[in-house]
Amino acid sequence: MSLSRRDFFAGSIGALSVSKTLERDALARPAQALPAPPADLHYLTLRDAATRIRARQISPVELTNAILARIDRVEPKVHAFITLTREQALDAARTAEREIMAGRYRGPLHGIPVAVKDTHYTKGVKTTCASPVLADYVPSFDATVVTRLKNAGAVLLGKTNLPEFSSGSSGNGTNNPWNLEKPTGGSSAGNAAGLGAGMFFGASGGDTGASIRGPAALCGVVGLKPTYGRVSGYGVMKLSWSVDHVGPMTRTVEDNALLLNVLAGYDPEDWATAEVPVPDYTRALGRGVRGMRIGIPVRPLIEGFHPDELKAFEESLKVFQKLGARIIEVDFPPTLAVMGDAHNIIRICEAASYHEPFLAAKAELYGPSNVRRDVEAGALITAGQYLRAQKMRKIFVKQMLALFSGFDVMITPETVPAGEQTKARLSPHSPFNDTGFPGLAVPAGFSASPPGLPLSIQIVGKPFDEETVYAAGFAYESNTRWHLKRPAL
Amino acid sequence: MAQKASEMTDHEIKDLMRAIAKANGRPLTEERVEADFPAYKGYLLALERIDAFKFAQEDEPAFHFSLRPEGGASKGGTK
Repeated sequence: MSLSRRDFFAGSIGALSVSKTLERDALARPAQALPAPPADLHYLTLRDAATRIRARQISPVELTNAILARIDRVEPKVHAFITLTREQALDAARTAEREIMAGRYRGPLHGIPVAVKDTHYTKGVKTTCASPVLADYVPSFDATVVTRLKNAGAVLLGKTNLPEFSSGSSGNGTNNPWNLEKPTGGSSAGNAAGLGAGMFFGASGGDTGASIRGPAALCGVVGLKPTYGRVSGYGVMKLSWSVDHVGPMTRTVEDNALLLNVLAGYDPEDWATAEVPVPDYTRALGRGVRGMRIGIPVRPLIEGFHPDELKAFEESLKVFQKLGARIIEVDFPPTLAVMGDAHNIIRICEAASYHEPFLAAKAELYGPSNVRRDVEAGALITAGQYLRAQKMRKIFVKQMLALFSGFDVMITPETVPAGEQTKARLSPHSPFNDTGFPGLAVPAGFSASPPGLPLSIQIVGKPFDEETVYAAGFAYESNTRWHLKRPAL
Repeated sequence: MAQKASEMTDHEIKDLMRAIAKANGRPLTEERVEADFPAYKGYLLALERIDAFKFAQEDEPAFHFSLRPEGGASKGGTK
């Protein structure tokens, strides 16, 4: 049973003295010190919603109901969800409310509605990977990141849409909230579109070759592919285990840092995760970029990006320079020319291994996508050929580590508006899946042709240096207003 | 001397598919050979471009990929 609003709000003053830790928390502000909440809560930032919950100005149940009402209004247009777990969400919101009332505030995710891509195992809730092959699959355990979200008190709304088994760049029926006729990109399509449409405050996605950053860019939201090994992939459907990355998607850089604080960390169930301490990523946000060395790809590598995207990229560099950063043009190692091939071989060999039992037992169930064709053919690549691609990758990683020693972050153009394939020599995505370096897509403008579609830049950092990536992203975001614009739905 | 994929006929590549699938213990039907052929040919051509790179004797594959915060790529192997 839920507490009444009066009960929840009545506790708003006393709750602020729960512990010394919470007193230091920037979220701990009395309700009276906050401006009144907007009539529509769905476009609050995660930080703002958390601050208001912490101060008991809004309740988790009130917020969840507002979000569910928003979903009811826009989901018929956006199609972000495969499975909406309305009742479980309300139960979680009631639990959060009771805990907060009892002085057991867990942190910024407590009572916050979030979503996960339908590749994330959820105990007792269908996990389909958008494929008829897994149409009735109900996992018996939660993915580690789902457990982390639940432990943080987040309210899980459901499972979001993707192309079949995360393969490809289509939205699989999910529509871009900025223009319902235009693509969202893939594969974390439901996450990106849902965030853009104000259907949740954060989401966990996956990225093997663009799948967090690309859709985030196309839908005008923020997406981080963290360092390989920073976030556990245990219990998340594999496309390619050595290039898969699980990471946070939000509407602002600060929200992204808050979400990574919850998702990141070593997991004994995932051998690829690193036993590296997890900092409080929000602490890096205010560092600024004065004196920061920013590498950018030499012009011949990025010629061929859409002119609007290139313009947004160049305008963003002016912002960074004005803030005191130094721009350095850098060339990529020549191995870049074959890394796309190596990436494809690695990806498809590993996918073929994952799909082996499905190919053996229920191959006829694959949907109309090319997944069956691609993985069945991938199973014909020999171990020696696969390892040759991995050898190529290792050389590339070494060369890229050397390259990145000359600057603090790299900035690249992001996805082409409307999702067309770029003709540029540099793919902004898969090289950083292969190196495992963190990459953050940040809104950076809107296209002129076609009009009104989001544009983004990508900020890439050194391994496990998400803090510097966030510092650069937050400095840029704080000095622009692109992230504040909303689609007319 | 290995034959380059770009110099193989479609018929030869399909024969190769049948042979490897059989060796894998998962023979392909003729329908699947036809369906999978464009993807497999694409992979062979990608491998041919990788093969143009001259690896040094000491180059090792990243068998188990991992990174360290100090910026060094792992030498591979399990943790």
